Amino acid sequence: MLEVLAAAAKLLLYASAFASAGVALAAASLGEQLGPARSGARRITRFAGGVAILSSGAALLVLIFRLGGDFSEPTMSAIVESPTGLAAALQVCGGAVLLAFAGSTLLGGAIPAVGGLALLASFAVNGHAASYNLAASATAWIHVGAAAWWLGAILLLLPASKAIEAAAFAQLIRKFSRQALAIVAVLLIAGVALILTLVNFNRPDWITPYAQVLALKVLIASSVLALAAFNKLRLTPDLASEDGRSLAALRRSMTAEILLIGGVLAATAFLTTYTSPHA
Amino acid sequence: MIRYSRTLMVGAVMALAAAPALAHSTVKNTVPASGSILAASPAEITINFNEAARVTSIILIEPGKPERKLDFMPSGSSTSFMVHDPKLATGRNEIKWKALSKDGHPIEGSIIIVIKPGATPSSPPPAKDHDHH
Repeated sequence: MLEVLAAAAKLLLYASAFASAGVALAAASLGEQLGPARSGARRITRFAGGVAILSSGAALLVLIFRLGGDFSEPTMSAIVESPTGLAAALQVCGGAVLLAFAGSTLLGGAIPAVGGLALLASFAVNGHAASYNLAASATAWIHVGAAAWWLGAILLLLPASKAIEAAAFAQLIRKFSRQALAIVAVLLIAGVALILTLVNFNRPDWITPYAQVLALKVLIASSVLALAAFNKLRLTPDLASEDGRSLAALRRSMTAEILLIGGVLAATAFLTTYTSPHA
Repeated sequence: MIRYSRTLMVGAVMALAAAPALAHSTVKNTVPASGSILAASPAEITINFNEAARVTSIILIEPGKPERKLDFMPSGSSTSFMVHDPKLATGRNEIKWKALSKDGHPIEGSIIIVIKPGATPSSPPPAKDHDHH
């Protein structure tokens, strides 16, 4: 029962952290071209940032119960003095910055972006990758940062497709595509590097439960990539046409991308709760 | 673009390859070993992990008595934790421990020690205790 709660709290934390930090990062990179959609960015960042703080607290509470549930000195100091405590602090501080500075254009929107990066760093300082070395930790940070940007950008593009006129939206999509090409490449490289680190392919029995769930995650992530490639190669060039069918198809495709990314996050929550790369 | 990606990939893999082959935190062994039959309560119980962990609680379950919390040393991160003078009662004693592993996973396990006055001390073949996460 506690494991189910732990996985649920983690899923909520991942989804809210990726949404709030991702929207802050994407809003900073896409800039003024978002137009009226910037107010939507502020709402998403603020709401998801608040949920991230609450779900971080919930995840911590479940962990305390899994460690005995007595709030004793050894339990509390084990959490506070370990990377788990640092991760929780980053989640609360990063979430608080996102809550307070959501939509701020000070320093070109850098303040919420920094808050988002701090929030995402929490997934790099604690966990499977972090227990290896600093390089694995940094790679995990880059990986989650790129993934969050992707989710955040789609969360912004979807309302922008209705809020701004077709020509401006086509221009915004072109800007997103240029940035996505580099960021998704980084996401993939970091992801492959992490798999090669966490899964010991030299073991004869390398197909562990961890590897199986990881394979499922890769499969879902591949379908997001396939959908993104279809959007870029097929739907985006037709946006200039006047009939609006491409725009409607792009909206449906982006909604599907969001749902699939939710699937990737659910697989990750299961992976980090129930399995270990070395079990 | 492809050239940069390839360079990045090679760099990342090389940096990560320097990672030590760490195992998930598990108990390497305990002294006395789980399954031991002793004539009297041991002076101390030691739990040795394969990598640094943080023990959060050790509880003793004795026959016909309420659960008792055992004090342990050290506090904080260590590969070895010790309970001094656990005062095990005659009969079957279960020592249940919980800990936070290096990668943030909660882990737990138990050690069974039987106290039988007059028995010749015996312990099972070397094996780690019953731990899981």
